[in-house]
Amino acid sequence: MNHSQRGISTIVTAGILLSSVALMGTGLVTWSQSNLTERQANLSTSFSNNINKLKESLVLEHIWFDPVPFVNMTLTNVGTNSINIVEIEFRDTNTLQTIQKHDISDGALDPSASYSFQPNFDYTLYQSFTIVITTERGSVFSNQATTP
Amino acid sequence: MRRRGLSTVVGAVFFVIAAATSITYITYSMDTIDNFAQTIAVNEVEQSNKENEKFEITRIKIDNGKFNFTLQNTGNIPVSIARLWVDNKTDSDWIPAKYTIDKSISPGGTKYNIGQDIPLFALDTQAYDVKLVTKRGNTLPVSINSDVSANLYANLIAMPDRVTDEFTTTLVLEIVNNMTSNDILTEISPTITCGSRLVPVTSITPSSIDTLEKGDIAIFRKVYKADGLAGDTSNCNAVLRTGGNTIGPVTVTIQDPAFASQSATALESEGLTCCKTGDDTIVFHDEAQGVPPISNSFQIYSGLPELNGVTKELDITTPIRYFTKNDTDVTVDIPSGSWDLTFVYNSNLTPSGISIPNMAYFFDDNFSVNDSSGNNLSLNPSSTPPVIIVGGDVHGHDSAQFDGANTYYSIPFSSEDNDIGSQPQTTAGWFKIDSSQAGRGTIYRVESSDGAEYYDISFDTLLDKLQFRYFTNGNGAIEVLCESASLSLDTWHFFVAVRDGDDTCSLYVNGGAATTKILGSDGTGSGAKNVDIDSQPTYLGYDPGTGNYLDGEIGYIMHWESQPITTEALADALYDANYGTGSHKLRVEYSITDQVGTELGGSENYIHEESDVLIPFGDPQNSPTGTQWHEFVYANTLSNSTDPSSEFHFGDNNRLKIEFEWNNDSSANSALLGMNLDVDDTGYSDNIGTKLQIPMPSTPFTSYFVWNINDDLTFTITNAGPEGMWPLFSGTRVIFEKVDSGEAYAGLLKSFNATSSSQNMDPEKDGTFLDVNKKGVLEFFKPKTKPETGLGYDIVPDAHYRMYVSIVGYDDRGSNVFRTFYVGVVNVCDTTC
Repeated sequence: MNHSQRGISTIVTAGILLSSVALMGTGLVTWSQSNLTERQANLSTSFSNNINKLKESLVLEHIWFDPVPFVNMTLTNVGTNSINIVEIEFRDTNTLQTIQKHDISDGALDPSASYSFQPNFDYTLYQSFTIVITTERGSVFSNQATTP
Repeated sequence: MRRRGLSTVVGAVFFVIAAATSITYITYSMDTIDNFAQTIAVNEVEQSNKENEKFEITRIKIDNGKFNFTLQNTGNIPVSIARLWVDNKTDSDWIPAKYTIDKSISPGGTKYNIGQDIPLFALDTQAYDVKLVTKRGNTLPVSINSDVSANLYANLIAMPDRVTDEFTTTLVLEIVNNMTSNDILTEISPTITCGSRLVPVTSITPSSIDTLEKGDIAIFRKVYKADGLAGDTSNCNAVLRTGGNTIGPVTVTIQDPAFASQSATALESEGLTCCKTGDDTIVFHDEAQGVPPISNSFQIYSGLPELNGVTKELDITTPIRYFTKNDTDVTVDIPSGSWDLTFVYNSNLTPSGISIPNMAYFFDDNFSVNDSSGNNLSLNPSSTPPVIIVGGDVHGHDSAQFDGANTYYSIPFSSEDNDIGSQPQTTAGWFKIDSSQAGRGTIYRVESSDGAEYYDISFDTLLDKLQFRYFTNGNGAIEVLCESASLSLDTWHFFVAVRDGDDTCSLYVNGGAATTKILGSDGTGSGAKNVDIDSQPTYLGYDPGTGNYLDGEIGYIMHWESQPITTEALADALYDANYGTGSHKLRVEYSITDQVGTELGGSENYIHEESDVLIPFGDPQNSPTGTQWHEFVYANTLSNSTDPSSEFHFGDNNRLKIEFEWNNDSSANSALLGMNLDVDDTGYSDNIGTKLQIPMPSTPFTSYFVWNINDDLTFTITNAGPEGMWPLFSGTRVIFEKVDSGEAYAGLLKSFNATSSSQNMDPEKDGTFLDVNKKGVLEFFKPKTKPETGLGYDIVPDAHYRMYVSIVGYDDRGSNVFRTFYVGVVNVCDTTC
C-alpha cells in the first residue's frame, strides 16, 4: 500500500462514517421531535379537557311538581364556561336503579343561562329520587329531590 | 485529529437539537401543570366563595301588591341576587314564575325594597313559596303566609288573671314560629276579644307584625279594664287570622281589692317620652323649644310621643316644618335606602266655607259606620242590596250601583237631620245614569205617609234631565221644579239641589250656574209651606210611591238640614272637591339646614322634594281601623348621588328639615279639602303616629333634651290618673347610658316637688302626694357609676347618653306604681351647651 491508496480509503471510510452519523442523527432528531410534538398535543388536549371540565358548574335552581305525571325543573349554568347537557337521568335514591333516562339535544348553555326540562314522571307522594345530569365533557352533577 | 474534530461538531449539533427539544417540552409541560394548578386554585376559591356566601331575609312585606324583601348580607363576600322564584300555594292554578332581581349586596350591607319592581301582583291573603337564587347558585327558599295554624306555638295569658273592679289586666299573646319548615310568617294581625266584664282600654299593640322568621317570637298586648262584681268572669280568646283557629280561652276573674296589686295609675312625662324607639324612627312632636326661629316649626326626634295627640291643620298660607335638633358634637350619616313618611291624618268633610252636612254617605266598602257626618244615621239596604263598586266613582272612591229593579237604600227618619219639611234644604251628590234606565230614575226621595207631598231628586230619561221637585200640598200648591239642561247618560254628573225658599229652588249641575225655579208655588193654609213628613225614611235609588228605581250609580250623597248652599262659588267648591284618591295635594321636602333652618344648598345637601304628593280622602268619621285617623305612607328610595357611599351627611350643627305645604288646586275636580295631621299622639295604635322611617343612621339624631351638668337634674311628670300616687325614694332612679360605649350611670332620687332641702327624700321619707292631673318635679342626685347621695359625680360630660327615668311608687288605693320613661339621646354638657 502506498500513501495515496491509504489516503483514499481513509477518506471513504470517514465519509461513510460521517454519512452514517448524519443519517442516524437526523433520524433520531426527527423521531424525538415527532414524539414530543405528539405528546405536547396530547397534553394540551388533556389539559384543555380537564380544565374545561373542572370549570363546569351547574345547579338545579328550581324544581316543582304539577299533578302527576308532570315535573318541571330549571337548571342554571353558574360556571364561566359554556356547558352542553347531553343526558338527564332519574335514579331511585335507594337502589340507584335508573327510573328514566333522557338524551338531551338542546342542552347547550352559555354562562348564566338556564335550561328548563319537563319530562313526564309518574311519581308517588314523598318519593325521593336522584337527578343525574351529564355534560358533553363528561361532568356529572347530581341532585336529590322529593316529591310533595 | 481533523476527523475527531468533525465528529465532535456533528455530535454537538445533534446534542443541541435534542437538548433544545427536550427543554422545550419540559418547559411546556411545566407551564401546563402550572396552569392546571392555578385553575384548580381558582376553582377552589370559587367553591369556597359559594360555600361562604350567606344572606338572610330580615323583613318581608307585601306593599301595594308587591313583594318587599329586605335582605342582609351576613357573610364576608359580596352577594348578587340573580333571580326570584314565586309559587302561589293558595292558587292551585298558579304556575311557578321566575323574576330577574339582579341586585348586589356588599358584605354586612342591607338591601331594601327587593321585589318592588317585578311585574307580580301579590296578595297578602294568599300563601307563597319564594326562592331567592344568587349568581353563584345558592338558594334561599322561604314560605310566606303559610297556614299559621300548623305546628305553631301560640299562647294567650292574662296578667293578672284575677283583677279588681276598675283595674286593668293585660292580655298577652305569644306567637312562636316553631314550624319545622323554613316558613316566614308575614303580616300577622291577631285579634284578642274578651267577654263583657272586660272593657278594652287599648287596641292590640302592635297592631301587626310584618315578619316572623323561624324561631322568632312575637308578643302582642291588649289592656282591658275590669267592669263587674267580685266573682264575675270573662273569657278571652285570640285569633291569628280571620277564620283561623282560636287560641284560648283564658279566664279573667274579678275579685275584691287585694293588697299591693299593681296600680292602674298612669304617669306621663312632660316634654319627654316613654318607651324606646328605634334610632331610625323619627317622631313628629308638638314642642317647638329649640327649633329654628321660623314660623310653624316643631321638633322631630327619635322619642315616642308624650301627648294625647295634637291636630295640625295644613293650610296654604304657611307650610308646617319639623326640625331635628342641631348638635355641635354629633354628625349623622344616613345611608341610601327607603324613607317612609307615615301621615296619620284625616280630611275635612267639606271645602272651606261649607258647613258639615247632616248626612254624608260615601258607600265605602271598608267601613262599618256608613254616615260620615258623625250623626250615625244608618244606611239600610234593600233585601237585594246595591252593589258597592270599589273605586267606582269619578274620583276613585267606592260607589253604590243600583240595578233599576229592586235595589235601594233607606235612611231612618231624624227630625234633626233629614226632616226636609221646611226650607232651607240642600242635597248634593254625584250620580251616573245607565243607558238602560227606563223612565224616571230616583236618586233621593222623601215623601209623606200618603205619598202626596214629597222632596225628590230624580233623572227623567224622557227629557235626559235631572229634576229637583218638591210639593207641599197646600191649597193651590203647584209642584216646584228646577231642572238641568240635557245630560248625557253613562256619565258622572254632580248636583247641588237647594230649596232656598218656600216656593223657590236652585239646582247647580257640574259646577255651572244655578237653574232656578221653572214652575210651581206653595199653597195656602196650615202647613201649606211644608213637605209634611212624620217619620218617613229617606230613600236613595227608590220612589216608594211610583215604584221608580234607579238604574245607575251614586258616588256620594250629602244632605244639609235647614242649611242652604247659597252661592255658585260654594256649589263649585263642592263640585271641585275630590273625595277619592287625590283629596289632598302636598309639597313634601326633606333638606339639610344649618342651625337656624337655612338650607345648606348644593347638590350634596339635596335630599328630596316633590310638589304633587296626592293623598286619598281620609274620612273623618270612618277608617278601616275603626278610629278617626287614617294612614298614608309616602315612600321614597333616596340616596346621595354626589357622595361616593351614597350617604347623606349631617355635619355638626346641621338639622334635618321636613316641610309640608298643602297645595291648593283650583282646577275642576281637584284637591280642595283641608287636611288634618295627627302628631304627638300616645293613643295611636302603634304608639307612634305620624313618623318618618329612615335607613339606620350612623348615630341617632339627638333629642331636644339637654342637661348641663352644673344644673339640677330634674324631670317633670304628670299624673294622668285614675288614682293619686306617692313616689318612693327606693327604686326611683335616673339612668344614663353612653351611646358610643354603653357605660352607664345612675342617680338616686333627691326630692319630689320639694320647695326646700328639708323636704328632700331619703330611705325613710317618701315623696309628697301627687294628685290626678297634677304635675310633679323629680330631682335626682347627679349620676354615678356607684349611685349614692352626695354632691359628687363621675358621669363624663360633653357626651351623648340614652336617658331613662324609672319611677316606683304607690297609689292611694295601695297599689304599686311602676313606670320607665325613655327620654331619648340627650346631650350631657359642661359649662356651655
